Amino acid sequence: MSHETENEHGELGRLLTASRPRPSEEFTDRLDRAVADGFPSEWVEERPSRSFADRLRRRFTGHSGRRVLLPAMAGLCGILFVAAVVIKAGESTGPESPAGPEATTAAQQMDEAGQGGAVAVDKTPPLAVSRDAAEAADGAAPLSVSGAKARKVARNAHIRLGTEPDGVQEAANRVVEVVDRYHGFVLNSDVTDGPAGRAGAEFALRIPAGSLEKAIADLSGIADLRSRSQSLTDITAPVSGAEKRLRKAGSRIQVLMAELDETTDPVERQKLENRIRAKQWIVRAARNQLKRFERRVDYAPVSVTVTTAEGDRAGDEPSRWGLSNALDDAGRILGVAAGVGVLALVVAIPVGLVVLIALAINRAWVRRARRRVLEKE
Amino acid sequence: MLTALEAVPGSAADPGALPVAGSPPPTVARPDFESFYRTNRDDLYAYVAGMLRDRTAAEDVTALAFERSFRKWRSFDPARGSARGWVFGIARNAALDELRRRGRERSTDREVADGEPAWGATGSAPDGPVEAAERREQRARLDRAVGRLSVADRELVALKFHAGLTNVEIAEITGLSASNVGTRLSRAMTRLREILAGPGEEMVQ
Repeated sequence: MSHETENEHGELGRLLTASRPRPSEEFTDRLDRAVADGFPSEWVEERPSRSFADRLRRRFTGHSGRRVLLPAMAGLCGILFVAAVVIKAGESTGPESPAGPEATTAAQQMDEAGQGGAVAVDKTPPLAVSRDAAEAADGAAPLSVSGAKARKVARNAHIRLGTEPDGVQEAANRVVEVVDRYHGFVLNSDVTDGPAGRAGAEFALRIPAGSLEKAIADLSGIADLRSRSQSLTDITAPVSGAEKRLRKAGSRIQVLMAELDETTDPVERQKLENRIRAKQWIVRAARNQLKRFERRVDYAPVSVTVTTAEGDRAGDEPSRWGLSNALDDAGRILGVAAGVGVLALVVAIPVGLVVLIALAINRAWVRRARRRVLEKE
Repeated sequence: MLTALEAVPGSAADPGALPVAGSPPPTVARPDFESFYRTNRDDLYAYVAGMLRDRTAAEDVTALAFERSFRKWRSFDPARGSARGWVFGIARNAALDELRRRGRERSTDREVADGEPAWGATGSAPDGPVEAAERREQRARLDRAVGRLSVADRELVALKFHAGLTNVEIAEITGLSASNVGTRLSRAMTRLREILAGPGEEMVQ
């Protein structure tokens, strides 16, 4: 480029510099104040929005926007978290009865058997049935199994009652009255006086099986019913086994007796007598076992506990609630929280990726649009 | 030529100016925002107004640029570049968005009715009535000529002669190399001179 052209550019440059735009005093005063005040929210709200993105940004990041948006978002997250925790906790603890998951399973089996008209006592393992106090209070039908009379079914029950310390003795007396009323007997009893939590009573009862339901109903009404559970055990198989052993041993004794009558050899007779005594011992054992079975079927063991512990309510038994329970609860809550966190991540990560991709695309598009503005002649 | 273009009278002192190549490493210190603002307010406005050629839009964009830079002032890292270049970059993006938003060139070719540039008053020494009228007419012609430049050329002219930036600073803002800035600026000035010498315009000497 020639010297002349350079000079012309320099002259033109000086003219351009001399004619450079200057802001109005009104604008500079306003801007000076805004800078001195640190661009207060009034300034931001008064400034005209030049674009949709600016309006959106202002709406969500402005002073007034933050004032509403942040607490709203925090509240929403909190509600979602609490709801998830409550739902999960309800799912994990709701259907369980105080007697534990095994009893629940047994109860479900019992329900299924009842609905189908079948008898659940066919199963060899003992069938435990538990019903909590709430169900009992609702007047649920007494536990019964159709066909139980045809089979040998042993029943037992546990009742937990709550009362004040000065009501323990009264409750104990009424327990005995109920037992007498239904011609049962008290196998064992233990009544303790003292303050709340220490005073109480324990009873081991035998109630005639035919009167068991009524007796349980009466016993449940003696004091505040905290919990009640019943179980059935099918003992048909062991009874049959004992009967079979009895018959076999009896037959064998008859045969041995016949052989003994025909034997004259003292040594041989001694052997036969020993064998007969052994079989007689089996017969006695089988008879005793059958008697025990009969008693077990005819008289149901019922244990009654009268407690004075505060807060010992059905469904939350604080007397049995300890450090391990606390750790279990804490672990469950942490597990639920972790689950909620994972779920939140499962939702947030794809959404975040989509947002990031959208932001990247928008950024690239804006840059391209700016370049196009510059390239436009 | 580049040397002549570098020597721009009236450029403001810049506490956050870019270091010249070969100089010692920059001092990593963030200037006080208010003093930075005082130093750069008029330069930034001059650049934006020269680019947008609209007083209202220039004021809005200038205010927006300072507001955004104020909000991010603490996160600004002086080691990554000058504060001046950073704020001019923000203003540049906002100005380009503004041009994009308003249909780009629709209002940039606004005719000046009374000889006063559409983007604001210019600083001028007091003259007599005749000289003042001639000067106004001359500036109006120059304004029209600048308005006929492309946006890219007009931006370089505004950065160089209105805001008073060095080629290195312009390079930082525009993303071009400093030598490329000089070359393009020279072309823009040649084009401006051709426009002024063309039909309907009188060469400004």
